[in-house]
Amino acid sequence: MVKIVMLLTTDATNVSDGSSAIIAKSEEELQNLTNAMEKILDCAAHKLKDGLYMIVDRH
Amino acid sequence: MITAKWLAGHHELLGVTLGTAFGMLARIVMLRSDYRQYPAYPHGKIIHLALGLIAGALGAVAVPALMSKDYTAITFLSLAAQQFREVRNMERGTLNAIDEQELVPRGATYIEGIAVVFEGRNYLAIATALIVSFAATLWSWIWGVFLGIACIAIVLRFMKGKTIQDIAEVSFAPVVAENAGVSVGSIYMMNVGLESNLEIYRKQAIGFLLKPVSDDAKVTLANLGLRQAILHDVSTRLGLYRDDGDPALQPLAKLDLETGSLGVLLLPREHNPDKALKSICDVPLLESAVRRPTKANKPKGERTHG
Repeated sequence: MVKIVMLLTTDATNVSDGSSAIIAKSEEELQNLTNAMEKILDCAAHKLKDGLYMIVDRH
Repeated sequence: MITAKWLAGHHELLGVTLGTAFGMLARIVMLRSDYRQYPAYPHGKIIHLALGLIAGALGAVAVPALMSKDYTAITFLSLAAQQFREVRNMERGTLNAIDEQELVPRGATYIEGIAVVFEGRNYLAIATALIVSFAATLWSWIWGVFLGIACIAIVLRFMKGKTIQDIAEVSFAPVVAENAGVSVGSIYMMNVGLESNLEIYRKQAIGFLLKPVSDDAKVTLANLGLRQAILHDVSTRLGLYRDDGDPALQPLAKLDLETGSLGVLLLPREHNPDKALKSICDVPLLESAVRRPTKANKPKGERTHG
């Protein structure tokens, strides 16, 4: 079973209150943050749509 | 001094010696270290050679024991069977322990297949020893040697199992990595979020399409254990372009639900499509993955098993 670890987005309306999410200021920052979180958490990053990424744990 | 005359008077000794030798020889012939890498180290080999010697000796001794009406000697063979079941457990345990540290694991089906082969090969060594010992004791050593060579030829034939090539046509398929998705031919494999990872797939990945040749092959190809074995074997032979902590870089095999074809996405360290094709074609067809639904679905009244 895959677990959703966190969300990363440029648009705060994409995520609900209380969810683990990082709001990036730009698309470039979003890419960098997603890359960093993928390596730090040892989890895979998936793109749901432009400006919204999800980090999932497959272990 | 050992002379022809002395040997003629010691049929049983000759039978046991020849039987043991051929039993051991059969095990040596069957003991391989190839890309499956096991047993590849000296101690692993010694264990199996020692067990091969024991198997040969047990099979060879049974004949003179039976000839001297010592029927209880046959119980030793059941003892041997018990012993070799232990070998199977030992192999399973070892391979399972190693599997946890593999970047692409073998999978339970492959491990079970290897363990069964180890047990089966010991029985083949016993059977060879029994036949050689029987012929040498009853007739003459020439018959023993002749049947021994025949047995080893049969044993070698047993070793040539089927491969993926027998159930599927393997062909190259283009890998498309764009819009956060990776596809092999028309089969969607997975979502990859980061552009840097997509770039690695574009540069390094090789895609294959395995088209089943029959209805039976379709069901067999769908087996998860067989798919894992394909990924493991190819990764062993060509290396793997990923490390621990790169969960987005993953060799994968997925089915095309409509046609039953299997799409295989590989990330080999050595980017050599021809070698990759050869290594996929050589993947053994696992016994426990083979399904024959066309045989199982025969009309009532026909015996399908038993």
